[in-house]
Amino acid sequence: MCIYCELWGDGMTWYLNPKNYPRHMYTLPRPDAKPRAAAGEANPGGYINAERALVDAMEKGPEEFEATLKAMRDGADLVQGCVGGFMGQAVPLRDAEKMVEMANPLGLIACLCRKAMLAVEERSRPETTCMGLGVGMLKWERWPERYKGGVHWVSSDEAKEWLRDLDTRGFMHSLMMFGPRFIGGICNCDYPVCDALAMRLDFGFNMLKGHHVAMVDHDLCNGCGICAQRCQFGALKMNVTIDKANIDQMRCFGCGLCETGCPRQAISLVEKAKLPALQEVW
Amino acid sequence: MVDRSHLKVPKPTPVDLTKLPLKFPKIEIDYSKCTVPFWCKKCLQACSQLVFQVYCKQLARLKESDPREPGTYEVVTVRRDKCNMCNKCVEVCPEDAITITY
Ligand code: SF4
Ligand code: SF4
Ligand code: SF4
Ligand code: SF4
Repeated sequence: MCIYCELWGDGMTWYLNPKNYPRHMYTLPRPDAKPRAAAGEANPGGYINAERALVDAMEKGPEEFEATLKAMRDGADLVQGCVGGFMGQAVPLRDAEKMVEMANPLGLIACLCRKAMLAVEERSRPETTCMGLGVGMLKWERWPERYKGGVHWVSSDEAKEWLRDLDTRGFMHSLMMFGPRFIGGICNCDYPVCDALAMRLDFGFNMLKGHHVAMVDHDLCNGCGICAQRCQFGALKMNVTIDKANIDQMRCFGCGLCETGCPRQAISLVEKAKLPALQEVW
Repeated sequence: MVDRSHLKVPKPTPVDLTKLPLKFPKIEIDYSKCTVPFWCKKCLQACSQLVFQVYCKQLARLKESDPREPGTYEVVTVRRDKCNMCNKCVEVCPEDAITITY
């Protein structure tokens, strides 16, 4: 079982458990507490420092690298309350749509990773690629630098349409936690611009695989190759010998981009819970 | 603190420890020359390996910074491990602020 489900699932997929969306999930600071950096802005700063430290440690040797990695995993556990340094999880479009039905309010915002990597500001609503969920968003005005471009409030139907549009363009969806159990947003990512994804694919933490894996029906697949362009994880390759798509389910993150992109509905998402050998693959 | 010792936390590490230590290019940025990176962003756009990132140095409550104002942002080299030393960033930098050594 996924560690989050074990902790917070109450027998269901944890991010579909309504108990994980109430108001009190957001911990308000005590009145005497010192002001902290905006939750989101601290992250890329954190990622920048973490990535740099890991690269420096790789130059020093295996012991140094392992120690740095361990310190970060343990540190994330204490500071963020997230287990083993994982702060997010890949979610397919269908689950992201269920999440925006449960969470309120919903605000479209600029992506911090793209801001850091490309020095771009997503100032208008069509440019936005990130979404903040829940009561934490109501504090956004305190941090205009983090929320450059402001917040575009949307209804759950508008949010779904926005998610579908990003899905069509090839962004994979992931949820993002701000502190223990508090689902603070839905990211729409791609490698290498998304720092959380890069941390996972390059160093092995920050984002958990999702609850599904993709499967190809070879009778329906005509070998068009569209799905292969959409996989961010190197899990889906074209099997040129038989001219069909092939998915390595040990690598698959269950993002569902191949499924939503396939013009012949040849790919389906299968729940990992039904596949005993994938129970520990996260 | 919640006891999580019973949980099976995944620990996938794509880095091959047997290959360490590795050597990566050293990239120096002269911050007296590079003052408005969010506005200039030439190195960020030129680098195919996405080695550089910018971050806001003056994050403050109730304040939005102006990227044209010197010193509000800083460019840093993050993914040095991916640098191929193509020197494109050095060529495009209008301030000659970047030096790369190996
Ligand atoms: S997009 Fe669908 S039909 Fe095309 S190669 Fe992939 S699985 Fe086959
Ligand atoms: S194979 Fe499909 S579901 Fe799996 S990671 Fe790739 S695009 Fe996502
Ligand atoms: S190109 Fe040079 S001046 Fe421009 S942001 Fe990069 S380092 Fe700074
Ligand atoms: S030398 Fe090339 S790869 Fe290295 S940082 Fe500069 S542009 Fe990027």
